[in-house]
Amino acid sequence: MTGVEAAAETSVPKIEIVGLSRAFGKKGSKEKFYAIQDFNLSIRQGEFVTVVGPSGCGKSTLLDLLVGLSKPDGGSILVDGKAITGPALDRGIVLQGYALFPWRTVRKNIEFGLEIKGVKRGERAELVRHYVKLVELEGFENHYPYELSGGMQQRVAIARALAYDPEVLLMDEPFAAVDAQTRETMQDELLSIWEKTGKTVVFVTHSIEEAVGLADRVAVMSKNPGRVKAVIDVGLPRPRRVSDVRNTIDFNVITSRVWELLQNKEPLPEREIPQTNVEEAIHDDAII
Amino acid sequence: MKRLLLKINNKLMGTYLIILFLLVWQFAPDLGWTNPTWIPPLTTVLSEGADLGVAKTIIHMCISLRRVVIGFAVSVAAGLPLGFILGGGVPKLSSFLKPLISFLQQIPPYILYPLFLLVFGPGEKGIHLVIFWSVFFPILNTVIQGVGELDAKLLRAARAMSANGFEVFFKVVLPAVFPSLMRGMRSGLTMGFLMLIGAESMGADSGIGWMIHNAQGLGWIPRIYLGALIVCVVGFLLNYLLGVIERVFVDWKPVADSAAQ
Repeated sequence: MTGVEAAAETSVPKIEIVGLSRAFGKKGSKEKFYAIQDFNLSIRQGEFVTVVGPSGCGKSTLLDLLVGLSKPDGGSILVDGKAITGPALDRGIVLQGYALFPWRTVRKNIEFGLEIKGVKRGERAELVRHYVKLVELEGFENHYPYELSGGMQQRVAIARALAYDPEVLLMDEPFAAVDAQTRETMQDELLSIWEKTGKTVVFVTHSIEEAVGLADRVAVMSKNPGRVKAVIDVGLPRPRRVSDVRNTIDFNVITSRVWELLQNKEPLPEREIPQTNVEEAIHDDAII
Repeated sequence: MKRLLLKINNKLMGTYLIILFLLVWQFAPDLGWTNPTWIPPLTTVLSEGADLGVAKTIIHMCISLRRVVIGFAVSVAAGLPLGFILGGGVPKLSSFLKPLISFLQQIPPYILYPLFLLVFGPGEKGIHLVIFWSVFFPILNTVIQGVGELDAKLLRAARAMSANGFEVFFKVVLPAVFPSLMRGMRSGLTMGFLMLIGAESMGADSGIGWMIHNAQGLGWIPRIYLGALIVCVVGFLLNYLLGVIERVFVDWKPVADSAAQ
């Protein structure tokens, strides 16, 4: 089932981002810096959407908001029509640089979300078996992260995010740290996992090829403030392998269009900026 | 399997040198390398232990050990929570307490002992306090350091999986800090043992430190060596024990150092 077919079944978008903004206080001044401003994007059930933009365009801020680790200063994010209030296990996340717990084996890493969810031991073991198989890490269940290659660690991170069965998978440049060859393999593996599981995926990247190769639609972001400049329908055939489509004419046409959009410095037509409370807009993200 | 062999190999390497040292100690006077009055051979030292009475020696050892264990346990119990607070758990309290604590830890426990002696009189309380003083700060410092080195990514990952504060602490912070804590406990233990001997020789009527001090007063040189040997062996064993605990619990990253320091 492709994303488009899945979307036809339901009229309510899976994720609806409306007029989203997030500001940070500037040091030594009352001025605010808008990492994200008036960001609009609608994502259908089962769709694979990539968000591409220059570094510093607010991609990671957007993902933080989607995860629920930080609160928007304006606008809203609706998942299944309900505003998100914080992190929850209906959204799985794969962070940049794996973020595996080094003191936990592959098995225990995959179990982390399940423990939080309160899944019983026996059931956890079964789920681990299933997801270890899905990401092709059989035989490595009892290895520690330091004993694995970068690509394998990334697979553990994906399995960990999938294990608690979220409906949405949020991915923050997950393949940025692995070498080019592994990266391509991982992209194809991700696509096949997505085809098998039918999750809605929001995938953030700074690589245009990756964005186009994976996605149903590519949201191209502009910088300062970060907002959606354009949404490109990819329309390459599914099931797809990045390695197969990479040299097609269609692929090159789309990537160059995205590239042009990213190059183009013309501002978007002016829109109303949502009024937000200045006091609330300045946040202080404390750790722990 | 490979790791096990390597471990055995490392252990044997250390043992060889110790055996060689003991052999040299034993035979150096016979070979005329050293004066047996000042450096009596190992067997003389050991027979001194037999003369003193094995039971009596062990009692002194146990008294010393008890003092270390009490001081050590209190230090861990106090150093752990305070370390987490000062390490960033409660930022406001941390900025309030930190200056005083960095000030206090500059005081060498030796200097405090005469004061404790005056206030509490000779006895256990003063000795426990000295040991506490010398063990507490290494533990506190390594816990603070461990919390500071915490990978923010891991906290983000845990929170993204909707872990609450309790879960984040027990599933992420504590295991992440554990290796630093072990490091602090080992250096704290070494410090505590050193200070114990000092404290016991200044104002106690039992324990290995007192035994050494007493032997010095009476000019029983082999007994001084006996005391030193007991301190070495007990300190070594305690450190070894902590090393084993560390290796059992921290098997998730390659441990470079061997148990014997």
